[in-house]
Order: sequence, then structure tokens, then C-alpha cells
Amino acid sequence: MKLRHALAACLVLTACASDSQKFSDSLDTTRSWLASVHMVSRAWIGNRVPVRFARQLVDEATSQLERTGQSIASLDVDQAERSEALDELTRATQATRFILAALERRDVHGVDAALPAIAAHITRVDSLSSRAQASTQ
Amino acid sequence: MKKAVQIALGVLTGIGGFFDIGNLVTGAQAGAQFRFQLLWSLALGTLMVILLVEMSGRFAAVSKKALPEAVREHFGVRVWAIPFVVLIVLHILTLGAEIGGIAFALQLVTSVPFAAWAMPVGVLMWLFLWRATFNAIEYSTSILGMVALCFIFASCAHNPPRHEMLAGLLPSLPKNDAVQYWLLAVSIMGAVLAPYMFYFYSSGAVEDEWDATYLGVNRIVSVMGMGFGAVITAGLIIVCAMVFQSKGIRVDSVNQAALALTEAFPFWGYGLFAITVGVACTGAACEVGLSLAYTVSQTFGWRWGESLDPGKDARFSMTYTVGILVAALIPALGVDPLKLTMLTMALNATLLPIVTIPFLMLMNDRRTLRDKANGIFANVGTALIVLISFVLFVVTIPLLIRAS
Repeated sequence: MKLRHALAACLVLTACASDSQKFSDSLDTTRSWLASVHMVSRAWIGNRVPVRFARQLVDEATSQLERTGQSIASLDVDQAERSEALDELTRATQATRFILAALERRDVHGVDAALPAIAAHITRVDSLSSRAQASTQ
Repeated sequence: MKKAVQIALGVLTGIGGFFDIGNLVTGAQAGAQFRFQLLWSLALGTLMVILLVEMSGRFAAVSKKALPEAVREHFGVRVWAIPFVVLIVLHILTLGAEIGGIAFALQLVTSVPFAAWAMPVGVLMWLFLWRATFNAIEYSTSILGMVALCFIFASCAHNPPRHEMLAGLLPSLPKNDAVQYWLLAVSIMGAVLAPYMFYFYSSGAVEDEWDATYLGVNRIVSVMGMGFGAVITAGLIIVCAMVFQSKGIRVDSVNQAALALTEAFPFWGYGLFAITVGVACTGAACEVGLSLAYTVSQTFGWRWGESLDPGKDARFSMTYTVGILVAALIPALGVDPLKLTMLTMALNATLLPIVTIPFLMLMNDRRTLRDKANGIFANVGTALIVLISFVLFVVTIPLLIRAS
């Protein structure tokens, strides 16, 4: 009986996450990377981090956002929600690419001008994430 | 006077030994994702490590034998063979993670990818171990390791809510992402209770020729060294909670963690973080490299001692040489230091029974320890540790599978 309980606990622990849970996790990941881009851009403008590091982090964030987009595209979730998330990810990735290009030019004004767009993407991803979490529960 | 200096240096060593890539990665992720909610895991791990370090020092001081040697003698080669192989693999993975941490710190400073730094770091580390004596290694890395105090100053600068921090010292259930929460709780304990620490500490006590008169020193060093080390790690968790959690940043990459100090120390926070990671990982890498050589040499009954000339204990020196080379290959092949660290710390937690069960038995051997064997209090503490070790052993692998 005890062994059966232990096996059941192991199965619960190792059970795969559902697609809706993965969708929600992907949105959290997106938010995290966008917030990182926002933070490192502000830090670079404030002369707190070297440009090489800022470029490296924004480049990594862009790759991660692309990867997250591919992962969301393969999930079996509500089609409207998925399309909305993918559109948002595409626009957010474009915004991070714009920041990357501005960093490569060492264009402080260019980076500064792109920050409100990143903040707006974060807000929209938050809203999508809240809806996804509500539907998961 | 001599003992006072040894206590001071021992405490510094304890702090330096406590704070490494494992604590950095698990602490940063815990703070960023769960604020102060996982401080209890650090507190529990610290109580356990204080007990185990005190016992490993007491055993070495009274018996004049380090742990691997004693375990082999007491349990025989057959019983020790499987734990020995597992521990060697764990040592190599931990060493790989620490070398990856140093390489990452160099990447922050130079922008040259960490993979390119891994082998040169390995060579420099080997050269340092080859040339330096035990005390030179121990004290130089520990004193430099004090740079990690910046996390305590940074946490004070963020003025964190005290009641929330205190509440974090009590275990609580997560509101979301339960799998990640428990995996981090387990990994924090794995980072704090890294097996290499006990083997290094007991072998160091034998190298320093501790005897029964050092039991007081051992007690102070284990309590204060590990205690202060835990306070630094708590500082890191608090800083990451204040900086990252409010912005919704999860530390999924070592690059994200590098922003941790840029708000508390605007102009030198980035450089300070790189130096702290580099120094902490260098100290820990030396300890893991030596612990690997101690464990292998004592198991096979070879001559060992970092204070000896490498020509006089060639097999001991060859062991850490090969160990460093193999471990440096892991980050050199591009394995992400953060992912390697998380895996290694979780495995540390899984394999804790291998370390704790022999402890319980050795520390009750009255033929060897006489009146210095464990009393009731220490035995109850160790039994609880063994129990927790078994829980970690059962839950960690399923958590790892689920999280991946």
C-alpha cells in the first residue's frame, strides 16, 4: 500500500505539464526576457553596464523570444489566444532587434526611444498571461 | 593568540567555502522567482551543514583521519566502491560548474565567450594548485572571497521589508509554479550541503594537524563560517528578490543575473558582480579539485597532501590534474554554466544519503572517538538530516524530470 502511494506520488511529480500550462509558462518567459531587455537598456543608457554586455543580453533575449514563438506555435491551446500571443511576440522581437541595432550603433537616443514600446509589450504580455492563467485554473 | 588567528582564518575559509556557483545560481533564481519565500530552505540547509561540518572536523581532529579514508576503513572497499564512483562523478560535475562560473566572470569582463575561457582557466587553476601550499590556497581565496559581502551591503541598500523576510524563514506553499519552487528548495539544499565541503574540511583538518585541543576552534569555525556564508547567500536572495522579482525577471540565464548589483551600486555593480563570481568560483574550484584528489588518494591509500611537493605525492597531484582537465572540458564544450549548476546541485541533494549515513555511523564509533563520539543531541540532529536526505533522494529526480 505504501509502495503504491509512493509510486503514485512519483507519477504525479513526473507527469507532463499540459499545453495550457506550457502556454502560460511561455508567456512568463517572454515577459521575463522583455523586462531584461528593458532593464539592461536603461542600465546602458545610465552608463552602468558596457555596451558589449548589453548587446549580448539583448541578442540572447531576441533568440529566446524567437524560440518561445516556435514553442507557442506548436501548442494545442485556444486558437485566438495563440494567434494573439504570436502576433505580440513577433512585434516584441522586432522591438528587441531595433534596440540591438541601436546598441550596435551606440545610439543612446535610439535605445531610449524604443523603451516605451518594450514597456507596452510587457503590459500586453502581462494581460495575455493573466488570461492564460485564468483559463488554466 | 595562535588559536585566535586560526579561528579568524578558519571563519574566513568557512565563508569562502560556503559561497560558490551553486549558491549564486540557486539563490538568484529563488529570489527572482519566489522573493523571500525560499529563505527557509537556506536556513534548514545551513543548520544541517553546520552539524555535518562540525562532525567532520571533530572526527578528523580526534581520529587524525579524513572522512574518505575513515569510510573506506570502516565499511570496506566493496561497500565504498559505488558511493566512491558516484562521488567522483559529482566532484567532476561540480568542478565543471565552478570552472564555468570563473569563465563566465571572464566573459563579463572581456566579452570573449565563456567556452573559450574554460581551458585557460583550467590550466591556471592547475598551476595554482601545483605551485601553492594548502594554507596559501585556503587563505588567499578565502580573504579575496570577502568581496561577496557586497551582497549584504546591497541587500541593506534595497531596504527590504523585514516582516516578509522573517516570514520567508518558515516553510510555505507556493502560489504558482510548484514544481520550480520545490526544485529550487531542493537545489538550494544541494548547494549548501555539497559533499566536497565535508571531505575538503576533514582532509584540511588533517593537513593542518588538528588534534583534540582544536575541538573548540572547529566548533566556532563551523558555526560562524557557515553562518556568515549563509548570511551572504541570504543577501543575494534578497537582492535578486528586490531587483528582479518586482520586474518579472526570472533568472534563466547567467547574463540576467549579472544585472543584480547594478541598482544598489550604479557605477561599479556590474564589475563587482563579475569579480565576486570569479573569486567565489575560484576558491570553490580549488576546494573541489583538492577534495577530488583527497577522496581518490585516501580511497586507494596513496600518499596525499597539498602541502607536500607534487613529486612526493605524484598520484595525488595527477588526480587533480586529470580532474581539472576533464571538468574544464564540460564548459569548454559550451554547456551552459547555469543549467550545469542546477543539475549538479539537484544531484548533490539526491546523493546526500551517501554522505550522511556513514556520518551517523562513524560519529558513533566509540573505539575511535571515545568520549568525543556523538551525544544524544547530535545523534537526533544527524538522524533528522538522514531523514531529510532520504526525502530529497526520493523527490529530486521526479522534480528534475518534470521541470525539464
